[in-house]
Amino acid sequence: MPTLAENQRLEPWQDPRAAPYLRVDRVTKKFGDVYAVDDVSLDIFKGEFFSLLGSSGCGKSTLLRILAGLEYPSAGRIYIDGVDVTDVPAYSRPVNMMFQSYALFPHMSVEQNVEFGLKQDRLPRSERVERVGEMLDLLKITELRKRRPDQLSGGQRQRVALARSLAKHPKLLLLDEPLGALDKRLRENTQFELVNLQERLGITFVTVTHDQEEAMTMSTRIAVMDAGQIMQVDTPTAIYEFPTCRFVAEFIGSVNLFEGKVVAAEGDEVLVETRVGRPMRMRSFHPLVLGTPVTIAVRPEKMRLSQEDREDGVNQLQGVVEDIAYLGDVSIYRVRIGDGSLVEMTLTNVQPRTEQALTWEQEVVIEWSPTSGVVLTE
Amino acid sequence: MKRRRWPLLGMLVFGYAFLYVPIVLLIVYSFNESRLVTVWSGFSTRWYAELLRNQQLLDAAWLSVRIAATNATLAVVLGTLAANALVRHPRFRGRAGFELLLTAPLVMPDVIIGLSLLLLFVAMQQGIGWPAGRGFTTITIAHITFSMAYVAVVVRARLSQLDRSLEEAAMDLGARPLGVYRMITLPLIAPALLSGWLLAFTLSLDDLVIASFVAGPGSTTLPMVIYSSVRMGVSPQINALATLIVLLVALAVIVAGLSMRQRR
Repeated sequence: MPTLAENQRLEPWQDPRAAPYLRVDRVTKKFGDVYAVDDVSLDIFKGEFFSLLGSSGCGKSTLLRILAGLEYPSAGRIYIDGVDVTDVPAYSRPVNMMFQSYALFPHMSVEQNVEFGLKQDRLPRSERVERVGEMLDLLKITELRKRRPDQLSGGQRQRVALARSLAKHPKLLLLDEPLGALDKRLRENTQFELVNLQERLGITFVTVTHDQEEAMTMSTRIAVMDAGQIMQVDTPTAIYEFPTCRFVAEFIGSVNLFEGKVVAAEGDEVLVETRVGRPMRMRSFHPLVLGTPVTIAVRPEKMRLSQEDREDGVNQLQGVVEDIAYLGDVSIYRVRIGDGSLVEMTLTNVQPRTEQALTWEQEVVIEWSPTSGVVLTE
Repeated sequence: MKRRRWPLLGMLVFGYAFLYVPIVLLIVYSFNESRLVTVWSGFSTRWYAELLRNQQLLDAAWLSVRIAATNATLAVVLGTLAANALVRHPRFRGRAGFELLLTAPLVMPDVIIGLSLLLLFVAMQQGIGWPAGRGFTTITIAHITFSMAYVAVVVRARLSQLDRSLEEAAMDLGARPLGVYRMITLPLIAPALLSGWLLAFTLSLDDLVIASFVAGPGSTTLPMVIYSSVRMGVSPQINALATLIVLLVALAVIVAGLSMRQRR
């Protein structure tokens, strides 16, 4: 068990005394009549790997550009290490950014690209050479130093871009879809490498991504964005297990949703009447008033097959297997239930497939425990 | 299936012949001994020697080159500024009017440009005393007005293809706006600047109509001298001069091509 102090070092956002390194205070950005970023506030702490996650057009890239100083917010302030940097131009901010297109200077060699930022700081030549060597070494691209960007592969360009943005030893690095242009295999390897690098250098990373898997693997915390607003900020586990709204529940992974209203509350559990089956008993983190309309969200892998349809069994649904998708390690079953809707259930293939019990058109009973899902109020 | 290549090849040969046989003939006849341009009587370099003694022709050539170089340089500066305004500022007051006025010289007949500028220069001389008389200055100004438009078109095309994130990256790495322009934008649009310069140079060297309007006594450009001498019968000296110009242009194109290749 980690002690409280350790926990607060690992999860500084839990510590009420910790000062955020980057504070976004009620930032809004309008393009014409469109709100690209709508009243967003965020606290990001030193050493975090923070991800802004959302589909394209949700404002995550605009927010990143505001942090870099490439866009000026219509309202709100940005603080870095307690200092208001809203009016500080991009070239004076202690922040560096890795662009989605990498934006390598095509008329300069790899070495010159990495050296560019150091030259702007008027560092002496010997120090520049040393720093460039160190960066090329860190990203294992020393042998590419004389090449031009158009002589590099996508993965190599990504490394050069990273080396260039790290060369000035920024305290805060912004990454716009850092792995977006890489193919799947390379992406998976690079994910771990990026996290290792971030931990080793102790730099605060803020990344933008539309790939939920990427955000889940790399981040200390994730902010899920939609239509310029932040829907939820939390650790990957909390975002997945305890979404606070329907959008987040549906955006991350798959989920089964049942609408209903609260008919009874006992302790930290509520009884919810829905259009399907018997009332469902779920754990709720907030006390709920009787009659509140709620949505129950249960992940497919939290559901299991019931051996018997007990009369007193809660959270049970009867249905017929309609679709089976075999994915090797798991199988996804789509079960048609009483009101005609489909419920998705994932089962690990413990036995070889040929010996599996479930087939098409088979009648089954699905069940889940009261702690295996969340009650969403909206 | 056997492809029939002869018709295509024939067309190619005809096309090249149409373009280059006149130039080759001109070069060949510059080494002709005869005074008659159309009759070959033997190899000689006497017309080159005579050309070097023809002070009027040499003065005109030198004036034309000076005008062309000054014009090209200033047109590149102004044309690039105009292109920048159009590409980088999608909305400013009077943008449509600015764009129209900038491109108008591309379609305006030379006679009208020449005449209107002549009227302007005369009025200015009477009104404010500048430019005093007509010559190098007035011809250069006249040439800039239309070559600037060509430069703007060329630079604008290149500038609008430029990835803005390159400049943003430079700024993010600590370069101030002017530094970004010098270290990133200019090197990347340099090919367009070079071709714009060469285009403006050629347009100026080539111009007869506008120059005739705004030139004064004692400022006769090369096209004006050649044109007036042709009316009295072509001297093979003109052939010799033309050969030298072709040689110069070919050299310039080769040098430009080589420098481009090294950049890549």
